Amino acid sequence: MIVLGISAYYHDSAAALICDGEIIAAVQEERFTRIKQDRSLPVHAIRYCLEAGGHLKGSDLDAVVYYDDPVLTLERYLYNVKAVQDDSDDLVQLSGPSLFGQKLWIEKLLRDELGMLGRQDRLYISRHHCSHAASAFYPSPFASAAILTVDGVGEWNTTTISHGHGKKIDILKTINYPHSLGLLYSAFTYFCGFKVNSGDYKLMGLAPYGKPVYKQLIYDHLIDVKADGSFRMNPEYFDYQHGRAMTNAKFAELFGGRERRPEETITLREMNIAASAQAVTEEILVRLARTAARLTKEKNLVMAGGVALNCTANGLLVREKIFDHIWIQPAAGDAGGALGAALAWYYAQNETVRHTETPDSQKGSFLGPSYTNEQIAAWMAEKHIPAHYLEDDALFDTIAELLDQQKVIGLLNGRMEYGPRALGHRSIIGDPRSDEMQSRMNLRIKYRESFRPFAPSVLRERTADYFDPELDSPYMLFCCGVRNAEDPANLHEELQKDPDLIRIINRHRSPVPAITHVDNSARIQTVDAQTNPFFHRLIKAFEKRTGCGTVINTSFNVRGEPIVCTPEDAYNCFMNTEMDVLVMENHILYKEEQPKEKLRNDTYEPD
Amino acid sequence: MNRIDDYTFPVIDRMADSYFEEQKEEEMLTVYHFSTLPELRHMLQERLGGSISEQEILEVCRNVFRSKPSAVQEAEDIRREVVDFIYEL
Repeated sequence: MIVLGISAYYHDSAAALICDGEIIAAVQEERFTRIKQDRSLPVHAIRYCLEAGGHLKGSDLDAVVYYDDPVLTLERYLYNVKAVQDDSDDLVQLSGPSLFGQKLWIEKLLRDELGMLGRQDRLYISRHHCSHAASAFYPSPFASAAILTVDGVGEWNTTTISHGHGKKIDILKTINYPHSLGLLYSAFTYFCGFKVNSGDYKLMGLAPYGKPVYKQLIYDHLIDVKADGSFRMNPEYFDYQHGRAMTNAKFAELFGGRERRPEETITLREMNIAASAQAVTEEILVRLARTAARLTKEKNLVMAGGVALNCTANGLLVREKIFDHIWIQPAAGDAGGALGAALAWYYAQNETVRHTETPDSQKGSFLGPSYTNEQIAAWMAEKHIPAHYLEDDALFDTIAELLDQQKVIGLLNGRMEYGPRALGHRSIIGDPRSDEMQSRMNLRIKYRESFRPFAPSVLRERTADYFDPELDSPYMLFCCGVRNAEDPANLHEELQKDPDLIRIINRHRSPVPAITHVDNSARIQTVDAQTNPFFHRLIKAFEKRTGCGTVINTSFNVRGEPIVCTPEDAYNCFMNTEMDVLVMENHILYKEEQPKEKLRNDTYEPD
Repeated sequence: MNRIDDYTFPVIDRMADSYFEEQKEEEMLTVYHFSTLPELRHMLQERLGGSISEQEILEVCRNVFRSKPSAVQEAEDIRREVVDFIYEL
């Protein structure tokens, strides 16, 4: 039984293909179009999935499933317009064309692309949070689990608690629009001068610099949270229900002045707002998790929805020990809805018993395109690109030596990652022991000054040597503490005197300073030989040479661009930055050997 | 769910114990099948009929598009088709 899942027209469009419940392919459209978080119909992603499934046509599919019900979205839209009727012009301008022009016509648009929507030539719809819940539960290793989905909004729902058991998902509790933890977080993201959605992780990264001094203010004025984690927001302080900015003048008044503009310096106020927003988010998530545990009596938790990408909060959920095990869908945002929709349909229609796999059924999230050595060699020959071919052992030893020499290396290996994180197949790596590496990689590779550290990828078997608590985090979705780091107690006094975040983040504070945040936390990826053999062998070679069992891992892209997909994308990024070495499968390319005329000088939009 | 005529966003109630809502017993997977305007009309009535009447849809959509015609002036053919349909309702 072959099922194609689609997400589109919100943000981060994607397609996913499953065959008899096995995930065959899943990919975001942005990787092909090179438009970050592309929201258009994912025609390239669909074509890739059909190709990966064995040159399939629309008529070969048992079902095509879209991840969101546009009619329920229309219903919410109409109620929203009615609720703010005298002030609905901006809402109409913002949402009307997309809703009436695209979302309601998804079946026609998909039929135009695919020719035929499966054997029955009809489109199936999975509810938005059902798609999220399915994306979290079905690939997880658990036969049963509590399911928590939290995002901005999908149809009416913004938060759901469900119970997954066997192949069934029962949605138990919901919180509905306009009350949304995702939108609350985005409101603070906007107010602190970052882009909504794509900048939410920056607010999370800024939080450790601040103190949660506004937490009570938030509870007093913006959101009422009950003991069970349910909440309602006070719409008097927000403008999103009018289709305008996230926050309004009353919100600004509450926080002592207007929002920070993106080009302005980050002040202590933004740091404290970020810390407060993060603290409130964490408190709500912990309460929701406790309620989910109480309602389902489960020891396992699975999560999805954009808020599930908040790895600081996820780390806290682990430390709270509400559940014995937590699994989070790596494509937790809307991209993952494509996979969830396909899985939801499969398990709803099929009598087959669901079998779980260890460590999970997500295949390391390596579900996108790959390129063979032969394909890469042919492309390089056509472009007259000089490279060296090395067999595996020599390749890993060479990479380890180059890392030890403080080289920055781009990796293109195997199938591309599904979800926002680079997990070693489309990554830029460096030596985490270096005091200068963070600044160097930021300025010369990523073209930014960043107050956030890079993330570490660590051998699973060495995790306890560097991080506490020891945990499985193969998808880089949990933060934990860095061992043997200096006491950050004086941080806030320092910031009072000189709020220069770049000076502070670049300071030596642990044996692996490039990946240690100012609160001595790190967003870790644990790498095991079973699901990520290439990356495991690479880090193992670095460990053998240096004794260090971890490397810096940042996504293979420059700011404003999606992660690279093809050898050409990787080469262009390599030649447009001061990256030293590019490794594409077994081919190794040195910058100094590349033709000067191929050096690029592209410009990037502000990060 | 309120009738749309009465609809306002739910507000904070400090005395309440919980804001959770029970999930209604509804099909989480639905078949979606319309590609033509009559089919859309039928589907809207079928799916929203219980909570929003056709007249209410008409009223809101008229207000929407009359208040901001520029929102649809830039639209492609299909979008104009939908707007025409809404005016026809």
